[in-house]
Amino acid sequence: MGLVGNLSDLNVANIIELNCVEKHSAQLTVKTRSGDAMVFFDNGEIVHARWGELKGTEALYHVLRLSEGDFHVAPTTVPPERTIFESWKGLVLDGMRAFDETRRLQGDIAQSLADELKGLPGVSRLLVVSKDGIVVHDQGGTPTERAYALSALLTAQGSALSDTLHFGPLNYAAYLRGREKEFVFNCDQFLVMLAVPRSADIRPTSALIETIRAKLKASENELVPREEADEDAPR
Amino acid sequence: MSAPLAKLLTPSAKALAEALDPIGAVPGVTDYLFVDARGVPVTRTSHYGYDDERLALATEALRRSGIVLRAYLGADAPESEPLALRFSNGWVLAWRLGGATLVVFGREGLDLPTIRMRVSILHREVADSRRLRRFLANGPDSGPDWVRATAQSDEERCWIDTISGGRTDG
Repeated sequence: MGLVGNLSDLNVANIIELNCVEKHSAQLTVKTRSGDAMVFFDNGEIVHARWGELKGTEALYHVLRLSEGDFHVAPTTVPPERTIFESWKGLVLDGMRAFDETRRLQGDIAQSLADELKGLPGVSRLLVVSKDGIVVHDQGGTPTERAYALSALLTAQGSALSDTLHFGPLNYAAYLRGREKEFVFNCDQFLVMLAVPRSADIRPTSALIETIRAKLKASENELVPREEADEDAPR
Repeated sequence: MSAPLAKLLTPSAKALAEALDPIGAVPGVTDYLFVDARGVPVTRTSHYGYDDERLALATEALRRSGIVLRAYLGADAPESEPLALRFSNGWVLAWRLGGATLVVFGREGLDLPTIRMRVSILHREVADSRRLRRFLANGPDSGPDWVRATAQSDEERCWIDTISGGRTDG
C-alpha cells in the first residue's frame, strides 16, 4: 500500500527509517520546484537516489534536507539501477550532519550580516530571520511575527512576479512607513527587514546584502542540485 | 491609452486615462496598468510591453500585496508612495489610489523621480476632482478579508492572518 503526504508532516529521514526498518521495496518520490526527487528501497536498504542531474549518495543528501513538498511512497520490485551501497543508517546520519553543518555556517553568515547592518547609520529597526522562522536578530518596535509575515508575503509575491515578468531575482521590496522607509531583502535562506530615514541611500546596504547573499548561495550550492541553484538566474 | 479602450470608458475613466498617459512616456517604463477597486482594468499604456495575461497576473499580485501592506501599516500608510519591488533587471511599482491600483513596470534605468512627479500630479488631480474620487471609490474596496478568502495557499492565509490579526498590537 502506498503512503502519501507532505514533508511538513513527516520528514525524509522518518520516511527512510520507516521503509528500511519494515524491509520495504519501494520508491519514494518528492515533488519539488526542481522536479521529482526519488529514493529507491530494496528489501529495507537504500539502493538508488536521483534528483535532477544528481545520483547516488549526493542526490540522497539533498533529498534529506528537503523540508516541504508533497511525497508518495509506492511499492516497487525493481529499482532502475543501483548507485548506493552503504548502510541506510550511516547515510542518514552523514546526510543530516552535513545539513546541520550547512545550517550552522549559514546562521553564522546571517549573524555577521546582522552585526554589520545594525552598525550602519540610520538603521532604526532590523529583523533578520530565517525562512523557517528562526530569528537571528530583532531590534526595533515592529512585532516580530507581523514583520516576518509581511516580509515572507512580499518576497513570495516578488518571486512569483519575477517568474512572470522575467525580471531576474527580487533584490528588495520597499515602502514608506511614517517618517521612514522600510526595506525587505530576500537573502537566500534569510529575510532581512530594516527601516532607515526616507532620505537614506540604500545602495551601500544593498551592496552589503548582495555580498552576503553570494556567500550564502555559495554555502547552499555545496548541497543543492544544479537545477535549483540556477533557478533564480534571469531567463 | 489604446483607442478601443478609450471608447469604452466613462468620462471619469477617460479623465484618469488621460492623466495617466504621460507615465507611459517616462524613460524606462515598459508598461503600466490601472485597475479599479474590483481589479478590472481601466487603462494601460499604449505601447504594450507584456501580454494581457501576464500583466493581469502581475497586477493582481501587486493589488493583493498593496491591500495587505495597508493592513500592516494602518495609520502609517502613506497617501502617495508606492510599494516598490526592485529586481536585478527591473522595477515594479504599485500605488493605491482610493480602492484602485496603479502598477508601473520599468526596466533598469527607470526614471524614478519623473515617475514620482507624474503620480503626485495624478494624486492632486484625483484630490481636486470629486467625480474622480467617486469613480475610484466605486465598487468594493477589497480588504484583507477578501485577500485571505482568496489566498493561494495555506501559508499565504497564515501570513495574512498574522499581519491583519496583529493590527491592534502595532
